[in-house]
Amino acid sequence: MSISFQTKVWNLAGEGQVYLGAFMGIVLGLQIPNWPPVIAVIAILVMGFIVGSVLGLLPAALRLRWGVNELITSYMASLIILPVVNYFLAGPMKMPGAGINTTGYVNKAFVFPKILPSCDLHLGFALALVLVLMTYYFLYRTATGYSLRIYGFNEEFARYGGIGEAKCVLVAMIASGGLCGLAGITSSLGVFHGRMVEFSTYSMGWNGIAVALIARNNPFGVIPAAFLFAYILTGANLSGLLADIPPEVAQVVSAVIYYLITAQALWRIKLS
Amino acid sequence: MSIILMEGIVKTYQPNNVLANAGIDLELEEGKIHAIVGENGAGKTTLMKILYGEEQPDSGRIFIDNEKVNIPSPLVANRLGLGMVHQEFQLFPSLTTAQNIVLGAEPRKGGLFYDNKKADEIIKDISVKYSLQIEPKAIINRMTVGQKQRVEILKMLYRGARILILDEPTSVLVEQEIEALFKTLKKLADSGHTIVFITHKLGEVKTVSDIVFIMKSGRMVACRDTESVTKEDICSLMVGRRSEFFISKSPIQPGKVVLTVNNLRILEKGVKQPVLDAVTFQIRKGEIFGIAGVAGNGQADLVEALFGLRKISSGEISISGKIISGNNPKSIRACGVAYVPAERTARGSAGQACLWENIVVSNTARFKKRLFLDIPAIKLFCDDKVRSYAIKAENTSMKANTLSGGNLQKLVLSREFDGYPEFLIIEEPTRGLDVKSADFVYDRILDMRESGCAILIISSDLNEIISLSDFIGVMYRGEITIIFDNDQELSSYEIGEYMMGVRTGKVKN
Ligand SMILES: Nc1ncnc2c1ncn2[C@@H]1O[C@H](COP(=O)(O)OP(=O)(O)O)[C@@H](O)[C@H]1O
Ligand SMILES: [Mg+2]
Repeated sequence: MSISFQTKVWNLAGEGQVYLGAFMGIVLGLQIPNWPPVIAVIAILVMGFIVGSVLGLLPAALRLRWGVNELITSYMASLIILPVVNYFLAGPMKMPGAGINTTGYVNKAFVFPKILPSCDLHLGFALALVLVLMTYYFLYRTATGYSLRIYGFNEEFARYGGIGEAKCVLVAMIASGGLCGLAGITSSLGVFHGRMVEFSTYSMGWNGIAVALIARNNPFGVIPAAFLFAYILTGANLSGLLADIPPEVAQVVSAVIYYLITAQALWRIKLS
Repeated sequence: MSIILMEGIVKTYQPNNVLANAGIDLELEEGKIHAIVGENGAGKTTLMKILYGEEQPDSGRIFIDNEKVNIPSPLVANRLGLGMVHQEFQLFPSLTTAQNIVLGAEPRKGGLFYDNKKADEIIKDISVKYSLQIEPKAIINRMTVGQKQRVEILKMLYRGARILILDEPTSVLVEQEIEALFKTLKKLADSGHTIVFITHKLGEVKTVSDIVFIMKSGRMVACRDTESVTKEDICSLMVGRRSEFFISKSPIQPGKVVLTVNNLRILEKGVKQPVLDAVTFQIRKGEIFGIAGVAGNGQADLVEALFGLRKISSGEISISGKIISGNNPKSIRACGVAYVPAERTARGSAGQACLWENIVVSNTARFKKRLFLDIPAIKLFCDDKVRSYAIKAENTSMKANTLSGGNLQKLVLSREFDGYPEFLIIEEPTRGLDVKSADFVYDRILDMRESGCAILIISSDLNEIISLSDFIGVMYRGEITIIFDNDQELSSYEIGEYMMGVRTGKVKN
């Protein structure tokens, strides 16, 4: 998200990318139960990345070819992909006999081990930290990252300076989509013990956008922003469980916080 | 008789703590034309904005007709009889002249509905009264800059302005329009209006003003009767030294042809009038070709076509025999073409990016180590440019939007002039710059010419075109209607006639 937003190429397909990444990764995992775990996990992660980026590629291509606003196409792509995946979860890929719509489990050896017992914190978290670092280096140290940021600052300046629009839009959408797909499969392999459950990753993509905005698109800022956001969400759920607070109230509270933070961000943009 | 008195005006801008006005006194006389001159950043605009209520001074007092006044907003300023025409016009582009002028004080039918007819009549009346010709029903965005300015002036007069402030009104106009403006100002002054205008051109001070104020670094350094000073006096007061007004050029040594433009044409769907029509010219090594013209006659489109930012419909562009038309900016840059755009902030730089990020944009290949950028090397390179172009900047990691106009232009020049390109496109090289920065820019351009660069200059400042160019083409309605050899005695008036389309060199078939 940070990548695409810094480029000012708007990837709103995060939701679908996460979902599809989680699903296709697991599907692949189910086909290769006998592979050596390390290779299998890598293959599964790569699969998650690829399907996410393909879903990002589509709106990027539409924008470049016909100038269609990626804001809308990526959002629609996301809307379409959710029920399609759900269809497979309820039908062809459903684990026989399960009470909920879910796939079967992949080989236990592929599941991310937990870092701390008794909570959901898994190896995927370490993976996420590494990715944050890589994203930072990509954006701030590489020539391509530089092009992306310049394109985000001022499209016209980038074109004039010789930075290709196509490259920026494609790279931003592929990287951002791929990372979303990766986030999806990571959560399936970690939190959900190696299976893909219907609705399991719902709103992760949207939360990603929220987090990126709170962090002002700075890759390192994403870490505290994600914690803040997670804290609000979990707190909301817990208070729903423990006290007699309906979940809607919690959602309203978190929405207000989110609204205030992003409104401030927009206000800054307007000022500068 | 003094109508306005400003006393001890101090203004600091936060957050940078810039002292824009450091205790300024200003006295305006009723019915006189006052010119304010001073380098860029001297604080002229700030002082006028304070008078017009757009900025509030930290301290200082303002008197109108010997009565102390508070001017918290332009609305109050209007009520007190002040009117200001800004550098950037404040008009609604899709509304008509009349609608723009009466905005905020519209004539109404039955106290409720906007009365179009009445508005048009009012406009006709005041345009006759002040002999400022204007068509009430004309839509703003189809107008020339000169016409828009007239609308702005009328808007202020309609609101009852007795004191008219104009911020660099001539910087966007052509010769004939400037003359018309001055006629208007003189007429307004004769009818008792008080005029203040800001300018960079000392010639204008001499022709039109009665009193001249000279500002320097936030202070008022002098106030003179215009008749009692020469241009050279004003200039030395302004910059603290005598500036060369006439650029001394060495005679050209015609080299091989670098740029060839052949029969270039750009058509727009559904528009009969071509954007560019049969544009043909050449520029040789070490030669400056200047294009004069009223903005909007195809100059900007020509430049964009040359640099690959705009598709052409037919024709051919080549650099040293190599065809570049149809290529993208990146490969055109690779052919040795560089471009200094008029829009320094919108096209020439990224304000939120820092200096080194701005300076390396066309040059990343040179600083690439595998996938990574060698940032320390880029910073060194940038440091070097900052020094050799005397750019006032604290370090190379500061954001480009904190630079003043002159320094930003130097930054753009240093990037585009690097490595001596074969062909240079320069739009509005000194627009909005002070005399000192402008001199610097001229020097550098002539350096590039000496070194054998072929240069295309596009400027709305005709004097600039005349003093820099070896050849001058005039663009009118998408065509180059005439090309002058600039070694003869060429009058700006003659060029102006071609610019306005009064004369055309070619017969259209
Ligand atoms: N809105 C602003 N915020 C901060 N600094 C400003 C602002 N406007 C002008 N300045 C600074 O104040 C100084 C005087 O500017 P200005 O009055 O525009 O000069 P002039 O019109 O003589 O060129 C400059 O150094 C400029 O950078
Ligand atoms: Mg100014």
